[in-house]
Amino acid sequence: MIRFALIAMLTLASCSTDPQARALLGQFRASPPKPAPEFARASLSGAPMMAAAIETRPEAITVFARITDAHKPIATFTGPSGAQLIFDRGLLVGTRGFGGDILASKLDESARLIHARGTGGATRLMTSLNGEDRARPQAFRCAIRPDRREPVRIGATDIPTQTMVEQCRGAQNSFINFYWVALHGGEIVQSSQWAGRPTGKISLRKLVLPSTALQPR
Amino acid sequence: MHSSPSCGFLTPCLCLALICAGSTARAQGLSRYGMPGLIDTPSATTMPDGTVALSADARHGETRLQGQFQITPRISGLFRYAVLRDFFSDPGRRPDLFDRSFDLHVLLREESPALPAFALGLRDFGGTGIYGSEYLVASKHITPRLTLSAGLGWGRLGSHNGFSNPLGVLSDRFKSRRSGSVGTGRLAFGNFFRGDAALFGGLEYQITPRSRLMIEYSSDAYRAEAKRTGLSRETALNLGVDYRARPNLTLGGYLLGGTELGVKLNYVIDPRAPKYPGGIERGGPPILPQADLAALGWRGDDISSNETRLSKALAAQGLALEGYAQSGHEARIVLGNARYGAAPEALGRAARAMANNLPPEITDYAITLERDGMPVSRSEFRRRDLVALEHDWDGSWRSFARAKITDAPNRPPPLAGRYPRLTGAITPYFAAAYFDPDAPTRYDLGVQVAGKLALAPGLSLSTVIRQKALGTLDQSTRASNSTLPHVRSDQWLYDKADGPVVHRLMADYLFRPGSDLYARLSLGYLERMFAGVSGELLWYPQTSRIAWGAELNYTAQRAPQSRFGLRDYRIASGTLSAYSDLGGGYLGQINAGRFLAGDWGARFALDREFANGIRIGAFFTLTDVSFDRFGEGAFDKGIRVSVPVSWLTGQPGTMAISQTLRPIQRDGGARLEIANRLYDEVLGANAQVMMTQWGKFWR
Repeated sequence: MIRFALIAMLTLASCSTDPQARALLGQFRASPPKPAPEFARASLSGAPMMAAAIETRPEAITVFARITDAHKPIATFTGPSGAQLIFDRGLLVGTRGFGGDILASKLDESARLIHARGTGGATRLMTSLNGEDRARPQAFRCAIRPDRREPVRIGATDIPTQTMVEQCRGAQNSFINFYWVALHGGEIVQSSQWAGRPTGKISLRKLVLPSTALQPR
Repeated sequence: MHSSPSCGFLTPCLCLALICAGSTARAQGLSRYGMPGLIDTPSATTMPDGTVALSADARHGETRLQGQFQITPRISGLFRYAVLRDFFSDPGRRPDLFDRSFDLHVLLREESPALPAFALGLRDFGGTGIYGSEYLVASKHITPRLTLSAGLGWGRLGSHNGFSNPLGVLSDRFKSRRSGSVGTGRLAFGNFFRGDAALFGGLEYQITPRSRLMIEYSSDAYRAEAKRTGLSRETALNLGVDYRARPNLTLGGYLLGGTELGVKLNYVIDPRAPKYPGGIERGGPPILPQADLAALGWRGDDISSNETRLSKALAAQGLALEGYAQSGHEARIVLGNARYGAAPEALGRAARAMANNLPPEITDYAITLERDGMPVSRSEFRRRDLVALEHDWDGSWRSFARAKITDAPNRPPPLAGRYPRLTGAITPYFAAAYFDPDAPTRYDLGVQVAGKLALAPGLSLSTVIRQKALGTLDQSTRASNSTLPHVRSDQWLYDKADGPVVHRLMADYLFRPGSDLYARLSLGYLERMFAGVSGELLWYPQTSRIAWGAELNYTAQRAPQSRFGLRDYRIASGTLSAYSDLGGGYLGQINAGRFLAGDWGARFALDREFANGIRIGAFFTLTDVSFDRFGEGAFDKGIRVSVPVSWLTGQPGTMAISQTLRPIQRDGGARLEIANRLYDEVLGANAQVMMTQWGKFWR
């Protein structure tokens, strides 16, 4: 309420050389923002892509395209709005532009067990930005186990996968992540992963399979 | 006036007896006074640290608007504006009482399994006296849902079933309390905990997580209201109910003394919980691998292409390349940041832009942050650290530890074509005046043109011109009765000016006379009421928690209704200033010297600044002007709040909405309003402050 009144007061009629004032105005304009240039570039160049949806808002599915090339072990994907999802071996390690972003994570133990399709315990560290703009690390203890095998349809192909469940508990937050790991190649083709406090869980699915996914890692 | 003696002493004694049993959960509710409590009586609880609670309370004949701030985990302060209708019956006098008051509430001890929590409070300690009271209160949970509070009150809270002050054993002085006002705005030291005392107490029951039921035995007899407005209480028991309609919005109703119905509302704001924590701006581009960079074939010695490429990349992040130099494997830039409220975010994005847009043989990056062209601090990064920490779980802290942040007394020369340059903005403006009994809120809305012509690094001409569109500020007829030179109290005359008003028109030169030193020279129409020259020097080393400043001004008062005219009043003013970062986000400031009315004294200020930019503070000024000569209010004091626009929108920005609220503006202790005092200009780029905001480096 108060927030709205203040913004309304500020945006009565401003025009400025200052982009901040224009950004403020943008809050009240209906026109869709221009896609981020890096998204346009990546999506035109045939980069790997995925569909993503925040699970509390399943109607809004967004396409994300990879903007880093294969030389980098950590893959950064960007959406048309410029929001970013960052993955390490298919596991979400960072977000940008969602609010309360995860800055970085350390989850080697989880990644190893999930890709080995094994059972066991793992420790996960996730650092997120809080409302005071401070980086706050959170530790989680996770139990990982395989669930059933099922095919996931990517494009016209049914890919046989092993479902993996990662159940994590932390001091303030707990969550359960699901991964569909391709039986050939070991790539995570579909997942449902926790992306921090205000965002919650995100559903992810590969849209284009890079050729490397069909080869052993 | 009627009371119910049957439960006179019993209720509070029972409360005290019961208070020593029970569990330790903690209730939070606000009383009619906007402070932790039940209806009229306080409780020994607190609000969550750092939160602001705005409250409104209305019953027949009385309205209160209140703002409470939990200053520390245990101390909270409150400002209240109250209107009591038909309070005065003297002929020829305005019948309504408009009252401004301050309260303080201190938690002395938290609740433990065996013992209750204790708190001490001062209501209306500023001395107008209408709500003046002090209390000592204890609270204890009997069950997780049922809380009992009981205490001893003085002043207003000692007016029903009062007894001789137990503090009288210490000194006879405690036995009597001066009645009525001790003089508006003065501290009522001489009255604290004096006069008769009385017991009060109450029970609150949490019916559901959202609703609370309260019953209290109040020791407030409402004497003044009974005498002046005919209020009659039938009992000392008050009943109330609260309902939390939204997580931060609570509505309530109550029955006072069996006869008076009222409603209240409070809204809690947590500065640490913006709608978009950490912002929702786009992330910066990830760092390119070394091999990819090498494949691009950029040449290390091609300085002008390196500069152009970097300038473009920075512009895409909303940053400006103001200067560029390179030698060997190091590149040095001057970074202009008008986009990111937290300087570390600008540094993080600029460092990544340098890593991605300079040839691979350039591995060390030095970024100088500037303010209006004046260099402030220099941060050095190495490419291999950036690569190693980009996705490190502890990358924020480690990148701060590995960055080398030093003073930057010098800067590389500006890029060709950066000067002169003109920037400007046309925005709406809102100006308001509060607390005039004729009209408690007056305002103006209009259009403001702000322009700045930067001539060279540190040298600029700037102006702010306002054209009022609509408003009521010019309707004030309250002429100042001040016997001091009218340096501030003629505001009402300035508000009557017609046509475009030149708010400011000045030339500034900001420069670095030496290491750790900053200087400013200003000349022109410095503010709405004064024109002249102003010079300032600041000593503020990087990573220092302390800064010292000196300022000297020679100014003439501007004529209220003339665009550029001056009055005959000339004054030399100036202060020596000490600024201290007290830790935990608390900033202290003392400005001692000569003020605009020629009075000598000092202003003391304490602000709490959250790392996200929200700032809440209070100040007071004591000078050699006597309380009587100062007039209503006795001395200059006020509270101030600043909220960054980015906190509201989630978008990056350096703009903030700021408001200073004084109970009354008089002429004593008035300080020149300089738009760009050095401490506030350079604070954000000091290593000490950047450390608290470094979480945004990798944002």
